[in-house]
Amino acid sequence: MRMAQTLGVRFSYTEDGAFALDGVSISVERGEFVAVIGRNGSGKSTMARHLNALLRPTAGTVLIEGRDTADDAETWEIRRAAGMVFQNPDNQLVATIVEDDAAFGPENLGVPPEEIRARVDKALADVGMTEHAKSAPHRLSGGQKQRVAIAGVLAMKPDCVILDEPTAMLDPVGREDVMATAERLNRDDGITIILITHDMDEAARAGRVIVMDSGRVVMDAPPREVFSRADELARYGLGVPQAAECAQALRALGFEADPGILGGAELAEAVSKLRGSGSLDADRDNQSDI
Amino acid sequence: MPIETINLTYKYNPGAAFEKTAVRGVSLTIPDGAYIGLVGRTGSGKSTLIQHFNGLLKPTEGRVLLDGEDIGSDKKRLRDARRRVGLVFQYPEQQLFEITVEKDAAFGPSNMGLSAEEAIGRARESLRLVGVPDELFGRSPFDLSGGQKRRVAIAGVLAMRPGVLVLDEPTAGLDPESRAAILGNIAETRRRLGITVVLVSHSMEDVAEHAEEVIVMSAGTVLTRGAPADVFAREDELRAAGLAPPLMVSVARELNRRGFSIPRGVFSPREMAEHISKELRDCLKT
Repeated sequence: MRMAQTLGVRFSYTEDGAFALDGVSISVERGEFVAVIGRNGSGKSTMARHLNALLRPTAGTVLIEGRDTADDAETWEIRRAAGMVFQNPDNQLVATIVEDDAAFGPENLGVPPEEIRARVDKALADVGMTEHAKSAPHRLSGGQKQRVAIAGVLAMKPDCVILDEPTAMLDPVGREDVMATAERLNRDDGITIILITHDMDEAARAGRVIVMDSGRVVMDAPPREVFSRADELARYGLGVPQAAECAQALRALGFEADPGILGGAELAEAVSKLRGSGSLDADRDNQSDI
Repeated sequence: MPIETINLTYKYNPGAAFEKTAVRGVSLTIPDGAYIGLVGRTGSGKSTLIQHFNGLLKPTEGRVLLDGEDIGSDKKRLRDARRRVGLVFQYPEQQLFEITVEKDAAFGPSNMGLSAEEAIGRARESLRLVGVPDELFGRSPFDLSGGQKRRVAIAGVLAMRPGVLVLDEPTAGLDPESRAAILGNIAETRRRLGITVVLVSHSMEDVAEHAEEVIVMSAGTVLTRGAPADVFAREDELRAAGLAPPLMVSVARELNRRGFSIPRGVFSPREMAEHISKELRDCLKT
């Protein structure tokens, strides 16, 4: 089933200004893990805000599980289905105790108390925060706060979680916490994940990468394919994961390295194989340069 | 203009139920002209420590010396420290407020008592230094891109002509191109003005590429410091502090386990590719 679809979406923040989104048509299936990358101002966050009806298109249509975000009557169901987590962990927690924060959404929906209890317990367990249920959010680390924010979304029983640069303000451990949580929700519970990020290594962990530039979708493919096109990405102000950069540099030096290599272990493996096979035949002319 | 902390301890809410020791007994020197990378988990005390460098926070115990003089000894020294040690906070563009880019960058120097003309002169000089094009000087800072806004905020601090520039996560939330450009601007500024730079960052890759020395903080203390090649080679220690070395360090370890001999201190993917290439070709010759 189709989780989200945008059809020729254009959006302008001002009456006569430039279009922040300039004809975006994408489709996300249920259960996908999609990363959206693009330089500052490319329209990533604007697009994300259309997916749970925080913004509505100036032209075109956004459908969440078939519901039109332009229809006021659908807004609450759309926000339940597609929950959003933002960049700053300090700006989105509202309660003084972790479990109250996670309960905030379903309480607003009028869910019965015993059902809320069950949902909150499950949501906190899903993000690994059960032992902090009675803690004050301000005493948590950044990564823990983001996991509580995700739990708040999960308590709404969403089908999709949209994460808008959730790791930008976190340290390496906090980042890994949030990424691992998103991957687990996707894998174990089939929740669709849409991750907006500036971190190419994070994007490489998705099943599909959408690249935006000037309000348009300019690439949409699996990470191996997207990140093997380093020159094109550079034109959009983007890079490639470090391992891919190394593999591509090896290619330029004349070795048969797969440009779609994404991780460190994979890179080390590929390099060992190169030595094993002695396959230096890719481009012997380059030897004189070294 | 070295900065020295002697037995510096800082407690939030001292004596209260929520007392929290953020920095404990830190003695360190930031030598003149250094480029220091300051790393550590959230809550390890980095931000608290750097706010002592220009007297924004007063030590609960211990002292901070600038050029050998205690900055807390009198008001004049404190004012002096505020000017000579420039602090760029996280997301500094949130503090832009003036109607034009150049007026915003001139705010610091005019506050120091310089004439409007002098202040604008310094603002322009600093804006150029960090790569803000002249045609943006008269624009509203709010119309600029994220990367440009951040440059304006950094220029505002540089316009005070500090001898030490301390930046707290200057590239957070920026795209790869803007990140590289801003770090390049900072390196260029340091080269041209000979200033000391302290870079607080969660990106070990950025620190490895730019810093000449790394200070690792953990639980309010300095865990270790040294050249990037040495510090980042101590993987277990780093992981215990909640950090991970740059990816290429892990790649080197994995390759060396399989019989390669990649030297320490190879952090950039391109440099790694050159080492691998050399070893593969040597191996083929024999």
